[in-house]
Amino acid sequence: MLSRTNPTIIVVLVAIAILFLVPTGMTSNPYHLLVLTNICIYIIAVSGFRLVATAGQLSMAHSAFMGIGAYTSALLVTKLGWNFWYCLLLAGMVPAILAVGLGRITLRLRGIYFAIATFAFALVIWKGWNTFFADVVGRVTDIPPPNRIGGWEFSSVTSYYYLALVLMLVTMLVMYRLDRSRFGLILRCMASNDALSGSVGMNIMGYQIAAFAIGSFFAGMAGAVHVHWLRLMEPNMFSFTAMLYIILYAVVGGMKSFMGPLYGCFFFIGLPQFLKYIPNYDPKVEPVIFGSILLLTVRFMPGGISALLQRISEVIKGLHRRKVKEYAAT
Amino acid sequence: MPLLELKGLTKRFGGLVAVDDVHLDVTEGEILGIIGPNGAGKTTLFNVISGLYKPTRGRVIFKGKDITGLRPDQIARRGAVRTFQSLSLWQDLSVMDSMRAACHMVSGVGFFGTFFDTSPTRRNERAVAEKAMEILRFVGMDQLKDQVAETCSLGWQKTLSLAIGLASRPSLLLLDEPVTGLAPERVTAIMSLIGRVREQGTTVVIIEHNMRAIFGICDRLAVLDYGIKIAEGSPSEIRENEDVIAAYSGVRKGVS
Repeated sequence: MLSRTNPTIIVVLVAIAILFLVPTGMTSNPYHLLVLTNICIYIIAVSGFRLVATAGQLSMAHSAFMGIGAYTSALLVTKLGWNFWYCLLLAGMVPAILAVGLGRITLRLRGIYFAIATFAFALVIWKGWNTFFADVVGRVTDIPPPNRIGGWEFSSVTSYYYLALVLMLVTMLVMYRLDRSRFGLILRCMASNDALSGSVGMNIMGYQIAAFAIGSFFAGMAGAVHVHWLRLMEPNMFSFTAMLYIILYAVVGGMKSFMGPLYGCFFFIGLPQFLKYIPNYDPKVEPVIFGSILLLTVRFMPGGISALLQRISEVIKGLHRRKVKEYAAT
Repeated sequence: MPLLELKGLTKRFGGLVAVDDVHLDVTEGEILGIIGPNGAGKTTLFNVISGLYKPTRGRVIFKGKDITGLRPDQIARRGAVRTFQSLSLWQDLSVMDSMRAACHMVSGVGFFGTFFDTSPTRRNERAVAEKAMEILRFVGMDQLKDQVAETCSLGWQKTLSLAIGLASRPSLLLLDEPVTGLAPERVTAIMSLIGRVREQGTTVVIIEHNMRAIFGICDRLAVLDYGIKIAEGSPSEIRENEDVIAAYSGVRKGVS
């Protein structure tokens, strides 16, 4: 088993090493680090969205959960002076608990109806916050950077990049293990055919809620990491525009693999940085380009970038079991 | 004591009575066939027994215990497992993954055990994989374990559906049209499989339109028409029954 996956492990280790070495000389430009930090944070958020989607449910409340997590941490740290690291955990826990409650009500709905219900929830949270709490806690400024751990401080661009990178790698590891576990299999089963899944004894509701809660946990954490980085937050940061981007990254990256969010975030946050070098480039056209890419992906490559890479590697390995395929057709 | 007892089971959809006051006993170890014209309420009956629908009236008693209104997974855990009509599989999963999923109940992994890759879990998963292979060999699909379900032929997909049902080691297996639309040699193969399943101690209830197949294998038959059980008895009794002949030929006696 190990010898078979060896090439993959080497690629992964090299990629991680490169990501760790970036600040130490591969680029002296702090702007590049800011972009990479942003990518890491979004990978965490999109991974959570993808996990819920793996169970066959599109959570339109994902950006709202990011906002809830961000507010949880920002307010507790700024107003009450709590330690960031506890608040980071709470920033995940609060959305997770809310997701359990919301899931109990809405997860009986399937497909588009669940999407609409979570959309409505997000709308209520967003509008409600803007209407009733905006005067008191609408805009939070002067959010302090994370507390130091030992000799580590997190106020500089480089150190915050390392924080986001480590959290991203932990998230990816969790997602990888979940994908490979029986839990991941159950999620795929439920998305594929929930009646059959129930009939072999899977507790559909229980696992749907679990997926929704875990996904929302990572949304909240990503939101908190985001605002402690920017040092300020306001309700509009986690509006539906953010939701649309999450969907864009997830779908184009590919929903079938835990690597999808990583591909999607690098593709959409990383690549546009190069577009800037085109003379007379106007960033206003980006939504048009992104939307077109989304349409083309859905039409021609529904598995996204991860499926494309998978197919390429299969062709290289020459994985064609013709004989078995012939037997299957009898 | 019968293994399964249906007591006055009724299911209404608005004004339509899909299953109408059905009383039926299933004895342990038998193969019972349920037949009837299209729209007679056979699949609805399965849906009510397996917990997909809640009955409007009546009770379902399994192993002496009332299971009316339980969730599908709760009923499956008590040992009554169903398969689905047509092509109800996990279409995008490989045959082996389908079997690993189907072995969910016997995997012995609890709700939270599924999240963590601990060494007992890994031991369990190895046992599950072995068991899955054993069933695949039993139904003759071991060569196809890496094939994606939807790329298999209709016959293999129906066989996989049966294998998924077997994986839970049910005491009662409810088969919804296991051979409808298949070529004769596949029908024979699947029917002999069902016979071997019964020999291993599983009680089987089959809905099927293939008359040759179902009259050949069943100990008893029950006939539904417009949701009402119009006859019950051995295959030879049913063959002679005038109500049954009338229902199938479209001649409706005593109905205005």
